[in-house]
Formats: sequence, structure tokens, C-alpha cells
Amino acid sequence: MSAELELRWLKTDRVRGAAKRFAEFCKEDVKSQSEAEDFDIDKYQDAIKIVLEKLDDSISVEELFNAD
Amino acid sequence: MLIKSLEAINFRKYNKLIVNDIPESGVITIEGSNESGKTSIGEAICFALFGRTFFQDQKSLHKVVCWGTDVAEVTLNFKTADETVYSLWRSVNRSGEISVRLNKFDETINIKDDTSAIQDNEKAEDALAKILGFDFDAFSNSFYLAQRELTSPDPQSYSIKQMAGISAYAKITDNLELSNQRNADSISELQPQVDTNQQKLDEIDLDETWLPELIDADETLGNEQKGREQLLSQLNDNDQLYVNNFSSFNSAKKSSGMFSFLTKFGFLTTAVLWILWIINTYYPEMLIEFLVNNFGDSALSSFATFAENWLLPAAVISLLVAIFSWFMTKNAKAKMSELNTEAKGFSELLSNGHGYVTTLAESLLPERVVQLLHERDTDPSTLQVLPPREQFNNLTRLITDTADYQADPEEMSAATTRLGEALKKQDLEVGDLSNKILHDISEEKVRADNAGNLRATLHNLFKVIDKCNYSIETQTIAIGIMQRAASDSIEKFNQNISDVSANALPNFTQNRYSKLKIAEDFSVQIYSDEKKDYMDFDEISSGTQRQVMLSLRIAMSEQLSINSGNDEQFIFLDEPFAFFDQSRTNATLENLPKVSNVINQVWISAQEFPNDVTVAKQIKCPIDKSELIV
Repeated sequence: MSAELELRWLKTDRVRGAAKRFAEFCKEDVKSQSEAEDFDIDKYQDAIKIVLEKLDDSISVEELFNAD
Repeated sequence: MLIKSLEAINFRKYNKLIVNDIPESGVITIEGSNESGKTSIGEAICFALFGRTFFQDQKSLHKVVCWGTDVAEVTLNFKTADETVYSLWRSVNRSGEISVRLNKFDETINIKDDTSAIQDNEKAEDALAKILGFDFDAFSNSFYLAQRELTSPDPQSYSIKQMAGISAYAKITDNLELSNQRNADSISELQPQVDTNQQKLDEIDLDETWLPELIDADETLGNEQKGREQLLSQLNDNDQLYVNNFSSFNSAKKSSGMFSFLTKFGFLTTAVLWILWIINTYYPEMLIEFLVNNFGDSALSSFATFAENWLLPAAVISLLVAIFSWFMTKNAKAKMSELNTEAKGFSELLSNGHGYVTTLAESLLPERVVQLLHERDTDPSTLQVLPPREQFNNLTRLITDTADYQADPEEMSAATTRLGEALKKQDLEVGDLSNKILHDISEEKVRADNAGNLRATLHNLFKVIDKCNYSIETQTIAIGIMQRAASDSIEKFNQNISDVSANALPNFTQNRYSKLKIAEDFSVQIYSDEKKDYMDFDEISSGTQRQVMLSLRIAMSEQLSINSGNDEQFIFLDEPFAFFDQSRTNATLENLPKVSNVINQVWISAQEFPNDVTVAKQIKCPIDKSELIV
């Protein structure tokens, strides 16, 4: 499997909670999805980034404490 | 999360409630008769965390304020998975106004007076939601079992999504679907603008190669005009010059011929005289003998007189004359060379002029420009008509003759005049054509600018549309991934619920029931060892039903803990043993802390507990006091 399909940029140990579970799922999901004829790895990766960004789109608790 | 301590003031029946030294694992029993305040302890925890209780929502929350007082307050210290201890203070007054403060726990500071706490209600609720990872509904369907019938939650509820760890997917999917709709709306709004601009661009029908051709034609005509004007100026300057040079050249030519002869003659004479002088001076006997033998004595006498008085002066004068003549010859030739150079210039001017008056301007222009000019101007012009050829019949000959001043000055002057007039006429016509093409260029530039603006607008519109389309495409893929991730999580969630429930059930039922099946709608079937088959939930006794549902509750709590990032969690069970017999109560109490690796702090309230069961902490609620400190 190519490095691209291994989603090496997606580090599951750098995220937590729902983002971590999602990242782990994507690493498995990409294998089956890549078999489709119209599969586009770039769009797939962008889609992952959209979700990860939204899973972690809010400011952290620490930031809330520091902001107050 | 685990509860470290609880303090309440004027909350329900308690004027003062303090629970300290709470163990992080094991069973914490809350014992007391009816109306002793058991439920109030659970409600105080719930109020602190969510600003409401199971029975009182925010509209009726003022009812938790103790009778005869104005404000109820609860301070809850709890520990999260990252070992951070938070201090949470919340109050509500008789008007139902709530205040909340949250900070990291510092036992030296009273949370009510802590200026470093998050004091803004909205920010505090936001921080709490992040710290807890679940909301009130999920809490009341898992970690907080109120005094009521045990029921399983709606499988489609948000609580279940939180427990299964897919609540975020649901929210994000909603956001992305909304974003996709907005993108689609944007595309729909932009499409008419695209159509209008495209139509305008089609109407302009700009040929990208036309303007460069016009500019090229203009430059060509400009060069032609400039060349003619320059030639005209040079012809005017050189017309009289040729006449003057013609006589100068002939004069220099004559001088050159004459002095060239004198030079040759002078050097010859000089040589003879100098030889005679040398012989006469150094070998006189030879000369005397030669003269006597050939010419006689009289010749000798004459020569002697000449030689004595004139031979040397004559030789010197002859030498001077020869040198002077040689110098004059050189000077005349230099003059001729200079005039010859100018003559070649005249010849070149004529040659250039000949080129202009015998070349059609249209042969130099792009074909389409010529075609346009022909269509526009019906009158013949320099473009396609040359001056009468007979006017310049002698020009070719003059070009050759002028180069060495063979051409007659008058003929040359006449030809130059004709050439100048023809060039002037051509210059005017070329200028006229150039002006027309400049006008065409100006118009074409306006059209090109308009087309450019339209293209730029279209480019920007397409850019936005492409961006919208790409967003829709990637967000749709994102939704698909989340749907598959959610299905995967639900599948694992159901499996884990079944596994954990099946693990807990034999402990709660003294091994009477050991297997259960949970369908996707959370309907439960239990395997009866006696009947050797699965039974529906309503076929079993009420007590066993509650034991099954308690198992299910523990399993769901464990899943919610894991999926909300809590690897240690408290659970509050308010009188769960109402329908349990004594032996199953004992069995359940003993096994509750063991059935899950995550649910380790178990709060249980009951009217009484068996004496022989080991518990981590006992809280006995007094029936007749409003203060409890344990």
C-alpha cells in the first residue's frame, strides 16, 4: 500500500477523544474506500481534515481559564 | 470523573451539607428513611454539574432553595482523567437566577471569592461541557439513576449518540449539510451572473490576434513614415551638396592628374641631376673623359661652367618640386576619397528612395489589415498604387553613376526633386492610413478591455463556484466517512453493551441469568438456563427486569465514560434495590464495584443496607436535622 493510502500524516497519538477514534477509523476506512474507481485520495484527505478540524474546533479548557 | 467532596448550603432540606474524604473507588452508601435527604445529595451533585436536577428543570429550579432562605449553594470538587481537580460552585436564588464559578481546585481559596475562576456563566458552562464530555440527558441516562422506573433510552436519542461516541459526528454532519446547502445556494445565485457575463463576452466576440495585428501594422506604417521623412530630409540636405561636390571632385581629379605627372617627372630629373653632381664631385676624370670623347672640348667647358654654378642648386630645386608635387597628389586623392564616400551616401539615398517608390505598402502589412483597409477605402492609395514607373526610369542608372560622380548634376537634381515629391505624397497617405489604424486600435483596445473585465469577473465567479463545488464534494465525502465511522462505533457500542451487561448480569442475579441479547433498539432478551431459550424482557419478573436494566445502565455508563475520555467515573444510583430481594441486593452491592473497570465510585442510596456488606464510605441521613457533615 502506498504511503499516501497509509495516511501517514494522520497521527492518531496527537489527538484525543472523538478525534482519535475518528482518525483510527479513517486509517482503516481508506483501505476499503480506495478500491472504488472514483476514489480521490486528495479529496478524501481534505474531508478528513474538515472533520478533524471540527472535532477540535473549539478552544481548550485552558484557554477558557486564561481568557477569563 | 470522580467526586472529591460535596458541600451544600440551603439546598432542599439541608441548611448545611458537607461530604468530605470521599474514596475514589468502592461503594458509598447513603442510608436513611423517607424524606431524610438521600435524594437531595444526588440532586446537589446534579445541580452543581448541570444547573438543574432530575425533577426540577431550570424553570422550577428555585424550588431547591431551602424553606425560609433566599439562596441555595453547592460546591462540588471533582477529579478528571488528567488528574486535574476542579472546584465548581453554583447557586440559585428564589427568582431562579443561577450563578456559577469554575476553577482548578485550590483548598486555600474559597471558590466563591476566587477571582481567578471562570465567573462568566456562559464560559463556565462551556468549560464544564468540555471537561465532562456529556450533557444532562446523557448523564441522567447513565451515571445518574434517579428514583424511578428503570427504562432504556431511545436508541435515536442524543444521549445514546453521546454514549456511543458519535454525538460530535451528528453535530458536524448537520453543520456540513447546512454548509453544503449554502454552497449550493451560492452556486445558484452566481449562475445567472455567469450566464449574463458569458453572453456579453460572446457578443463582443473578441479575436485575440486582431489587436496585435493592428499594432503590428501601425508600427510598420510608423516605420515606413519615419523612413520616408528621414529620407526626404536627407535628400533636401544633399541635393545642392551633390552639385557642389561634383565640381570639387572633378577639380580634385584634375589636380591629382597634374601633380601626379609632376611628381614622377620631378623625381626622375632630381635623380639625374644628383647622379651628375656625385660623378662631377667624386669622379671628375671619368666625366671629363666621357664629355671629351663624345662631345668635344667645347662641351666640357660649358658643362664645367654649369656644374660649377648650377648643378647643385638645380638638383635641390628639382627635389623640392618633386616632393611638393607628391604632397599635392596625395592631398587631391584624399579629397577625392572623401567626396567618393559622400557620393556613395547619395547613391544609397537614391537606392532607398527607389525602394520606397517601387514597393507597395500593403505588401508589408498583415493580410487581414490590408483586407480591412481595402474594404474601407475604395479610393486607390499608396497601399496598392505606385507612382508612375516612367518617372523613375533613370533612377537605377543614377544610383550607379552617382556613386563615382558620373551622374550629371542637373539630371541628379531633377530626379531628386521627383523622388522627393513622390515620397511626400506617400508620406501623407501612409500617415492617413496610420491614423485610421490608430483609431481601430483604440476601438479594439476598448473592446479588449471590456472583454478582459468580463473574463476577470467570470474567472472570479468560476473560482467561487469551483470552491463551492469542491467544498460540497469534500464535505459530502466527510459526511460519508462520518456515517461509516458512526455505524462502526454503533456496532462496537452495541457489542460492548452486550458484553458488559452479560458480564454484570450473573453477578446481580446470583448466576440465575448469564446471557442476554440486546437488539439495535435496546430491546432485551435474556437466556434462561431453566428454559434453555431466550425470553422476552416482559416475561421475567419485575425484580429481574430491574437487575437487567441495572446491568444495561452500568454498561452504558462505561461506554459513555470511555467515549467522553473518562477512565474513572462515579455513578449515582438512587434506591435501585426497591424491587430486589435481600440476597440479590447483597449480591449486587458486592459486585457493583467489580463489574466495570471504569465505573469505580458507586454512590447508592437505600432506606437500609445489610450490615455484612463491605462499603467504602457510609452516609447516614438524619430524618430530623437539616445539617449533615460526614
